[in-house]
Amino acid sequence: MPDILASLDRVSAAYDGAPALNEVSLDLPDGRIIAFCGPNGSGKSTALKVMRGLHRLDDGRVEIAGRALGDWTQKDLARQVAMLSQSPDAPSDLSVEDLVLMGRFAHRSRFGGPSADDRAACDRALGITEMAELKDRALAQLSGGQLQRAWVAMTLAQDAPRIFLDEPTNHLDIAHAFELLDLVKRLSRSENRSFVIVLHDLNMAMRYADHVVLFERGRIAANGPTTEVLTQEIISSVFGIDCRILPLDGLERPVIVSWGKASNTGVSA
Amino acid sequence: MTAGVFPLVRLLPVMLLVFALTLAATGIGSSFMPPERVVAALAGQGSRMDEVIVWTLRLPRVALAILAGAALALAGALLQRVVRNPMASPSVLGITDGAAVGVVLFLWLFSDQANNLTVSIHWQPLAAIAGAAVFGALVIALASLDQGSSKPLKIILYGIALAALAKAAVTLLIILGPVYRASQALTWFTGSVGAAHWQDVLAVGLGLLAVIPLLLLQRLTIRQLVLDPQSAAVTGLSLDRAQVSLLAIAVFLTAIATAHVGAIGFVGLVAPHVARIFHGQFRSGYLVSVALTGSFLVLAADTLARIIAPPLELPAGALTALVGAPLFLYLLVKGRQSHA
Repeated sequence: MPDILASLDRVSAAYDGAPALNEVSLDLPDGRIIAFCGPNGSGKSTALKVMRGLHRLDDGRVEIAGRALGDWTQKDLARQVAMLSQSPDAPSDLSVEDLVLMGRFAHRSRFGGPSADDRAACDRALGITEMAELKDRALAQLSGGQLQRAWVAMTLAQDAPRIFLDEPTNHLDIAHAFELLDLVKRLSRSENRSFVIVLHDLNMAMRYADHVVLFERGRIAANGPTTEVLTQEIISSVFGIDCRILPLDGLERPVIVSWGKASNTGVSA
Repeated sequence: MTAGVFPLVRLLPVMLLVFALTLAATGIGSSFMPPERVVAALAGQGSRMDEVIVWTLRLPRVALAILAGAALALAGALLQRVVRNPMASPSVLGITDGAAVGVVLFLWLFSDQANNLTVSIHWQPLAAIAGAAVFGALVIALASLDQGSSKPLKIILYGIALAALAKAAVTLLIILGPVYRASQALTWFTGSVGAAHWQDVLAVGLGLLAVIPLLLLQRLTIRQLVLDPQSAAVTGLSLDRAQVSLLAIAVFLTAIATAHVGAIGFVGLVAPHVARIFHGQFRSGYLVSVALTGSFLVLAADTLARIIAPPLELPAGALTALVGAPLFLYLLVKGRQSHA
């Protein structure tokens, strides 16, 4: 396995006509949990889509696992990199099992039914996400948290060593969000899978990420090991808020506490 | 849960329905034939007269209705997947009317003063395919220029606008063109299997046969298209290629059916929905169920068209909605109650 998961070389891209990425260069290590953070519209989601070939480049070059993005066939790339997009959608009468089986598209043979490998991968994905008992349910019959888990199962069934998640905790309550990121951590450690996750919540990034890329207006403000990127100075400058980073007893990583703009509160950092 | 039920069990009722309707439709006509005589004639053991009536007069028409119904229904099911909108169908997207433009242009350009075609009538299907392809390509071109978020809805709107444009073009061509072609074009435009010959049956049949292996090869692709475009792409689907190739197949099916039976509407919209309710759109054999439902609808419509006001024969296209709409509404209302 190459040591570089993805490499961006002076990449520029536009979103809805407005520039979203401005000559971004970035090397991402493989085998880690990487969080993309930054204010709204800073380009983190666009960067993820660009890396998965879902968004047009205006300029620059992207390599995935050592090979230029354009040199991959769709199916080969799918076997290397799975992704859960921000608002996935499937017909409400589709069953969980059939959805998860769709994650096997790049592996399935053109003829006949799903192979033993396909079945095994689906069962494992359903098991990991605790969706096995709900596999016959239609998507319409699931709660928001269950639906998100069904999509995660579909993404895992793809059996890719690298997984991109675009704001996966968006529609989840805090307990489900922790549950999902614990799962990510488990998969990263036990199966050595790489994750790139767009995360809004800096505390989630602090707690779960090995590596953080902080975006600011289409450029990279900071990039490196989590505790070196998520510092009081950098967060204050990128988000324009004041904050403290405090250690808590029993927690491996500190927590970030913010009270908004310093000028409004009279507290100085 | 019925997930394990062999798909044939679900297909059997609609197969039997089509078969029974085939016997009935072959028996019904100016001289009525009970089923046993139809079966005897089909098996080559009937009277000479019965065999002539069955094999020369009635069966081509029945077979053409079955095949054209299947082709139009399949085209509708494919389009609904390609544009991810259950409202899509060959007529809604302007493809049927595009084929009509092709045919009317063909009749207009290649007729002489004596009401004869200056080229062989066998070119007419090609004209239909060309017209359907042009309008299909226009819909896709407009849709691909549109990078907005409500694309499935927009495609329907583009289709409706293009269908209206095609209808206007057909009307103008009929009015401005040679008068003696007008009635022929009008009948064609409504859709009729009345003038069926074995040649027509063969052409549509071969067209369907050519498409079947393609559909089998694209089976997983057709299913994968129900996902939103990004999710489908990250599972490894080449979205553009899949959409263009399936659209091409849908245009071909629409054109080949429309060229031989005229612009029979509503089947492409309704048959996939009926099959969804009776069969389930994610079970294997869904497309077979769609095709059989289409066959049933067109055959039922044509049979009604013959018996509703004899000796007058109505165009089948005028009656597909008469058969299809009540069935469609019944299923929708019934479905709503069971889901509530």
